[in-house]
Parts: sequence; structure tokens; C-alpha cells
Amino acid sequence: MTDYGKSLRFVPQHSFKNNKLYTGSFQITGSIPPGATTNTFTKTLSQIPDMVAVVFNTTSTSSFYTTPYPNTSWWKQGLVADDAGGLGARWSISWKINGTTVTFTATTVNTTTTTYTSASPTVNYRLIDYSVF
Amino acid sequence: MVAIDNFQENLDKVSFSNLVNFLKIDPSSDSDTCPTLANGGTYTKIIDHNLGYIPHFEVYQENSSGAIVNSQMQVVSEMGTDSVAMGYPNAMDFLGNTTGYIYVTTTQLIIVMANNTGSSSAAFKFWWRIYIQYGSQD
Repeated sequence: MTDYGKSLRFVPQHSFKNNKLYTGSFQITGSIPPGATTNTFTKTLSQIPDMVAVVFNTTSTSSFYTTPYPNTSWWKQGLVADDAGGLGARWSISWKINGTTVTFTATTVNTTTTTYTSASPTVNYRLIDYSVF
Repeated sequence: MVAIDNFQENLDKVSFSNLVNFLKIDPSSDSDTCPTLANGGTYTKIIDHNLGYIPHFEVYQENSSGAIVNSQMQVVSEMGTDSVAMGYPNAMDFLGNTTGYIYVTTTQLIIVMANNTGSSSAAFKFWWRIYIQYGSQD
């Protein structure tokens, strides 16, 4: 069988390819102090990517879950509900990358005046590495 | 007709193979126009990709103010502001002050636009691109 992948050497311009998909999750836990709060989580990639894209998903639901996305959906921007003690806390999720280290950041959207214990929502992610040939 | 054996022996003549994992676009990628929306109106675009897994996607809109300006586009799926009070957390900033949200499932890409501005919004064109997944997985 001919290896058609060899034909790539004849492509005159650089192209992106789907190199690798990373999946995983992180959990927001612990005692959340008053005011703006951030929690960070890291993921190490096997190589430095040229370009990445990330989507998120969470199964966190509560009576305060106002994000219109169904639980089966994946999104680039959304809020994660944290139904802790009826406070209706929510976290916005962002990410950045430096070398092979991806840092996910969860930031409180609506803050409280008292410390509360997180309901420990789990956030799943799918990160795809697009690399240049 | 050129024999397949002949083809295999002349790979120098092959400039592109569709069998390698280029960043391929799913055929369900297309465009649409969000019509003028009255205040409180919504427009939902449901795209059936039926890939069976969660694909990556981009959504673009024409970036214009009443007229197309060099067909400039912006990636609305990378934009957004937290707006819990509106009931649309992390609403996307579409053109004409229209907000919305975007999500994907294993079968569909859903783009929802909502006008909560208090007045009519302008119509605009938008595009979506769904990328087919290849490569290894960690």
C-alpha cells in the first residue's frame, strides 16, 4: 500500500494539521473567600503547539444554572454553576498557554461577602493542537 | 485509463493527498444571515454535522456598520462578556448589538442570537466552520 502521506513533501506552502487532541478535566473545590477569586489548573502538553483550540463542558447544574447550554454541549465561553449554599455562584473559564503548559483559570463572576465552600463543579476540556507542517 | 500501479510509482506527480490529516473542514460549514430582530427577538441556527464526536468550530460574522467593509470578519466565538443579568451569560457580541451564545454537541452546532437592546437590530451575515478531527489523543 502506498503511503500517501509522503506526498506532503510536495506541498509548497505550510499547512495546519490536526496533530493531537488532549482531553481532561479540573475541579473547582475548597473554601472560596469573599471578593474576586481565581483558581488555576495546569495541563502539560507533549510538545509546544503552533495553535490550539479549546472547548469546555460541565455537568454542573443547579437551580441557579442560568447558562443556556445543555449538559451535553461543549462551548468556548460559558459559566460554570457552583451551587454552594444557595449562593448561586458562577465561574467563568479562560485559558492561556506558555510553552507546553496550559493554564486554565476559573474566575468568580458574582462575588460574595462571606466565605463559602464550593460545591466542587467539574469542568471538562478538549484541547486540540494544530501544528504547522 | 491510468493504471493505479502507475500512479503509485509516480508519487512525484501527487501534489495533495486527501488521506492525510490536514485541517479539514466539514461539509456542513456554511453561512447564513441573521435577519433584523425586534427587541426580544431571537434567531437560532442549528447545523447538523452528525460527526459523532465533539468537533472544534469557529463562528464568524461580517464586521460592518451598516455596510460591508472589505468583507472584514471577526470571530464571534472568541468574544463575549459576562452578562448574567441578561440571562445570557458570556453572551457573544454579534453585530447590531445582538447577543447570543454558541455551543456544539456530537451531532449539532447551535448558534443562537438574541436581541435584548430595546430596539430593532440590524441584519448581518455570519459563517461557521467545523473542523474534522484527526490525529492522536492524550
